[in-house]
Amino acid sequence: MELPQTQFEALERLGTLAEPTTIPELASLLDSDQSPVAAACAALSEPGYVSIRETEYEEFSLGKDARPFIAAPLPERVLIGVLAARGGSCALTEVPDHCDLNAGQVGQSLRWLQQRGWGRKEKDMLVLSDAGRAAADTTEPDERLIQALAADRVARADELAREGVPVDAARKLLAKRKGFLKIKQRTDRRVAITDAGKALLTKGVHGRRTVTQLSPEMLADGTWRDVDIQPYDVTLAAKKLYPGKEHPFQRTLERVRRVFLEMGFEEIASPWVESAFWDFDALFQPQDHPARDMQDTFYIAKPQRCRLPDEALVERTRATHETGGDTGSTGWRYAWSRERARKPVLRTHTTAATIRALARHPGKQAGKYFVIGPVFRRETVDYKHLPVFHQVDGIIVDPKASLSTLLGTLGAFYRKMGFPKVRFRPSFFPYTEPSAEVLLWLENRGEWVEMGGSGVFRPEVTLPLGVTDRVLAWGLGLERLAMMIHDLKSIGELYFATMPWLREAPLCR
Amino acid sequence: MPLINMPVDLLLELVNADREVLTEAAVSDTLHDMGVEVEELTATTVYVCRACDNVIEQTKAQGAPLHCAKCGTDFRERTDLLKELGQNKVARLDMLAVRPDIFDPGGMARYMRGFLGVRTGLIEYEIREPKLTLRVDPKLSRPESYRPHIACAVLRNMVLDDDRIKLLMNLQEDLHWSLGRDRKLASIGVYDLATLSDDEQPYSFEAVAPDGLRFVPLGFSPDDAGANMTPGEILEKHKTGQKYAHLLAGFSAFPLLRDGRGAVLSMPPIINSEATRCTRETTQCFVDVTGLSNRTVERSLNVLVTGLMEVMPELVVEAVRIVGPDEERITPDLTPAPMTLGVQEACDTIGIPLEADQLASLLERMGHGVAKSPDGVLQVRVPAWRNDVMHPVDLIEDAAIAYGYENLKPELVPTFTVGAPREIEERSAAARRVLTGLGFHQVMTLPLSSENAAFEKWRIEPDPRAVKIENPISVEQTICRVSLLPGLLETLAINKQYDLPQYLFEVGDCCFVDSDEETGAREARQVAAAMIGTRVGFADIRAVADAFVREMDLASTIAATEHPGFIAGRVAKLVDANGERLGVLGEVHPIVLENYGLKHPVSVLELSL
Repeated sequence: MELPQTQFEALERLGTLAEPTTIPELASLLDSDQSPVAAACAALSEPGYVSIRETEYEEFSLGKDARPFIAAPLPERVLIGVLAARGGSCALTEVPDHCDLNAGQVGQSLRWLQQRGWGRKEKDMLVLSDAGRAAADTTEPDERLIQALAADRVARADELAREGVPVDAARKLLAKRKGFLKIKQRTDRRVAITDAGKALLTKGVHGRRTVTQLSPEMLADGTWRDVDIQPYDVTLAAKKLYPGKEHPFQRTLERVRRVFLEMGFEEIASPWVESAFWDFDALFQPQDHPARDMQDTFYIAKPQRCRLPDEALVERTRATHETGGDTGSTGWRYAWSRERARKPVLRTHTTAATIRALARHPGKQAGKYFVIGPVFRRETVDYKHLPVFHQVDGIIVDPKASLSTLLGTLGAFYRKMGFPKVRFRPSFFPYTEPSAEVLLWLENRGEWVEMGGSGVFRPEVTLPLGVTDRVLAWGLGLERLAMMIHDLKSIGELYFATMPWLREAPLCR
Repeated sequence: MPLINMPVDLLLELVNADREVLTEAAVSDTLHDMGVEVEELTATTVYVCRACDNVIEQTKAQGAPLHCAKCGTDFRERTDLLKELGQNKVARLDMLAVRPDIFDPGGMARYMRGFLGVRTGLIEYEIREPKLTLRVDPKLSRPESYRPHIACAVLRNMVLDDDRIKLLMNLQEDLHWSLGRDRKLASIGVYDLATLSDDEQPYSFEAVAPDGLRFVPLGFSPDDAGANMTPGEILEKHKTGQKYAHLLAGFSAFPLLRDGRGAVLSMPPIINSEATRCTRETTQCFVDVTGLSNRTVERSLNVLVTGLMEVMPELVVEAVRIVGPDEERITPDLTPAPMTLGVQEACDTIGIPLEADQLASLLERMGHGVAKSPDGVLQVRVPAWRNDVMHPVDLIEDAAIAYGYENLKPELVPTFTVGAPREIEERSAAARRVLTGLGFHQVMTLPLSSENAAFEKWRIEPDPRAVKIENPISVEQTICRVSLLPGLLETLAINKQYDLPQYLFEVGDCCFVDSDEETGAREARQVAAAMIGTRVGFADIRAVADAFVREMDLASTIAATEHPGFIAGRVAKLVDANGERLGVLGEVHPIVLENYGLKHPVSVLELSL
C-alpha cells in the first residue's frame, strides 16, 4: 500500500513509540513543521490507523500587573508590616510616611487587607487583626503562585499542583485582581498508533513524496510520476494585478469616434486658437451676442490677431449679418466689424471645426464630417464645470438632408453608443433651424436626460460658405456622457485622476 | 439660464377660456411638444414688499426673501414690511430668450391656444388712434447721448390687483433681461397716466445735461432731504443709478422723458420718477420702451401690450404718435411682417410630404396669417410680437413643431460615404497601445496651464511661443500648455499616498504661437510618460523611450543634453534624422520634485508625435 510521504513517515515513527505523543514532539522527531504533521495525523486518523486523544487543560501565566510583585511584597503585606511596627495601629493618613506606598495606593490596598481579614479601618485609624499578626510569617497561596510563575513561566494547572502550589486557592484570591493572572484554555492532543496502524506497518506500506511545484527536472527525468502535487485551496485570494490602461474618458472618446467612422464620417480638426470669425461670425452669431462677451469666452492676448479667410467669404458674411445678403434673411441689422471678427479666442465649441470643413467642402457633393476635441469656456470651476471640456460635433451635407433624417441619424448614433431610447424636443439654437434637443432615456436613473443640441444649419450659415444643400448638425458635451458611464460625481475626477480609480475602473464599461 | 414662473391656474383659465382643451396633467407634455423645457412643476409663495409694493415670488427651496430686490429693504430687520399674499402653482420654465412673446401667461396662452387648435391664425388686436404725441430730440442720435429709439403706448381701463402687478413687473423684468440685455438694448417704463398730462401738448424724449433738471427718483419721498436730484446725482447716489451708470458712461447728456407740461417720467434706462409710480389704484398707464435698436424697442412694446391684452380683456390700448427728427410714426405698430414660403422647400426641409393646405394650417396653429398663392408658395404674415422669424426657414421650424417631432419618421440619408480617420489620431491610438502595453496608465490633464507651472517650477525661461489668455479666470490657467510634463507631475503629486511605483502617460496636444498660421497658433501632438518609485532612474525611462521609438517606427538617435529641470548628466534628447529635436528624457531635478512636493525620484520622457 502507498501513503503520502508525510503520512507514511508519521505512521512509521509512531510505530516506534511506546507512549502517545504530541504533534510538536512528533514534528521534532520527524524534523518537520508542525502543520503538515498535524494534517498527516488527521488524515491517518480517518481510516483509524492512528488515534488522537484530546484533553482540555488550563495554562497559567502572570499578567503584567502581577509582575511588580515577584520581587516586592503585595501592598497589603506592606500594610501589616507598618501596623506591626507601629504597635498594631496607625492613623490612615500617616501610613504613607512609613512605607513606599502613596496615599492612593494605601487606599486601594485596604480592600485586599480587609478581604484577607488582616486588619480593619476604625474611623481614621487602621488596626491590625490577629490574623494579620499571624500572617506576618506566612506565604499566602496567591503569593506562592506569583513566585511559581516568575520568569515568564507558562505552566499547566496540574503541573503547578504537583509542585505543591495551592492553585485553586490562589486562583480564587487573584480572581478580583485584574491583570494578575492569565488563564488560557488549551487542548492537549496526543497521537498514538492503533492496532490497525500497526497491522498496516506489518503488512508493508511505503511513502509517496508530495511536492508543491512541478519542476523542469521532474519533467526531464520523469520523476513527476513518483510524486503527488500538493493540492491548493483554489478559492484563496491572489495578489492584485492591473494592466496599463487607457484613461476611462479616452475610452468613451474612442467609442464615439468609432461610431462615427462606422457610420461613414470623415474625421476633422480645427485649431484651439480660433478667430472670432470662425467661432462666431460664420455661425451667424451677431457680434453683440452675450455668448461673445469677455464674461463667457477666453480671448487671446498673444497672438493678437487672426487673418480672415478669403475676401469674398468675409464680404458675404458681413452682408448676411447686416442685411441678410443673398440668403433671404432679414439679417441682424447692425454694422458688422472686421476687427471684431479677427479677434483670436479659444474655440468655444467644436462647431468651429465643422464650419471650416463646410467652407472647404466641394459644392454639390454629399459629405459627413465629425470632430472630437477640447473646447474652452470661461467657467468658474465646480463639480459640473471646468474651463475646458470635450465636445463632439457632426455634420451631414446631403441633398436629401431633412429634419427627419437628422432624427434618424441621431437615433442611430445614440443606439450605437448604447442608448436605445432617444426622443427629440423642439428647441432653439442660434445657428440651426429647425432645431431639436436630444433626450436619452437613462435606465438606471429612470429619467430622460438632455444630451445635446442638433438642427439644420440656417441658410445664413451655409449659403455664405457656398453650400446650397441642407446641412444637418449636432454637438454634445462628452464629459457628461463619461460621467454617466463611469458613475462619477464630479467632472474633476476625470482630469485630476487618482491611481486607485485609474487602476480599478474596468476597461469594459 | 433664468427660469420663468408660469402660473398654472391662470394659464389653464386663459387657454380653456372658450372650451376645455388642456388639463393640468397635460401641461408638461404639451409644453415639451411646443419646445418649452419644463424644469419642474411646483408651488410658490407670493409676498409683497410693503415699502415699494414689489411682488416677490419664491419657491419652497428658496424660502422667504431676505431683502427686496427693488427697494433693498432688509426683511430680516423689517419683518413688518414683508406680507405673504398666498400660494401659487407654477411651471418653472427655461427662459427661451428668443421667444419673449411667451414669457408671460398671456403670450403663452396665445401660443398654446393656437397650438391646440382652439384659436388659430394671426390674432388681430385693436389699437385705438393716438391722442398723445411724443417728440424725440435729435441729440439722442448723437454719440454723446445715444439712445435714439423710442416706442410708446397708452393703456386705459385697467384693473390692477397684486397678481396683475406682479405679472406686469415680471414681464418687464424678463424683457429687460432677454431682449433688452439688462436694459442696454432696450428698457421699459410704466407710469400712472393720472399723474401726467393727458392732452395735446406733446411729450418729449430729450437729452439733458447731467446737472440739468431735478426730479425725485423712484424710492424717494419728495419730503426727503436731497430727494430732488439731478441726473448726475442719481447716477452717483441712487442704488439703481449706480447699478446702471455704466450704460450712460462717457455721455455728456442723459436721456430724459417728460410729459406735455414738463414733468419728468423717467431717465431711461436708469430710473422712473417717484411721482409717476403705478399703484393698485392705477387705471391708466403710459408705457415707453427706449433703446439702441428700433427693432428691439418695437418688439418689446408689442410683446408687452399684446400679452397684457390677452390677460386683461377689458384693457384698451391706445397708440402714441412719435415725432422723430426725420420721420413720424405710430406705436405700437402691430403690422405683421410679410414672408413667402415655398411649400416644397418646407416639405424637403422637414422630410414629410405636405399639401399647401396642410402646411398653411400648421402655420396658422403657430399664430401666423397665411394666404395661398397658386404657384406652390404661401404668403405668410408673421406676428409683430415674434422676434425670432428672420427667414422662411424659421417658419419651416414652426410648421415642424406644429406637426410634432414625435410624428416624424426618422430615417437615414441615402447617400453612401466612406469613413476616414485622421492619421494623427490613429498614431495617437498606437502610442497609447505601446505605453499601456508597457504597464503605464493614461491620464488626461487640463490643456490650460500657467507660466508658473510650465516654466518656473521647471526652472526654465518662459517659452515665447506660449499662447496667452487675455481674460483668464484663474491664476492657474493663463496660457495654453506647451508641455505635458507639468500635468503629469501634478497628477503624481495628487497620488502621493498611493502604492509605488506609478507609471503614467498622456498623449495630447500642446499649443504654440506660429505666425505662419491663419489664427496665429497651432497645436502639436505630444506624448509624455513619467515613472515614480523608490528605485526609478534614467535606465528605466531610457528603456521605455527605446521601446516607444522602436514600436512607433520613429527614426531617432539619442544624445546628451542639458536642461535645468533634470539632474545634470542624466538627461538626454531624442533627435530625428534631420537633427530636429523630437524630445527629452531623464531624471527630474530634486528642486523640481520639491516644487511639486514629491518625495520619490521621478524619471520622465516627452516627445513629439
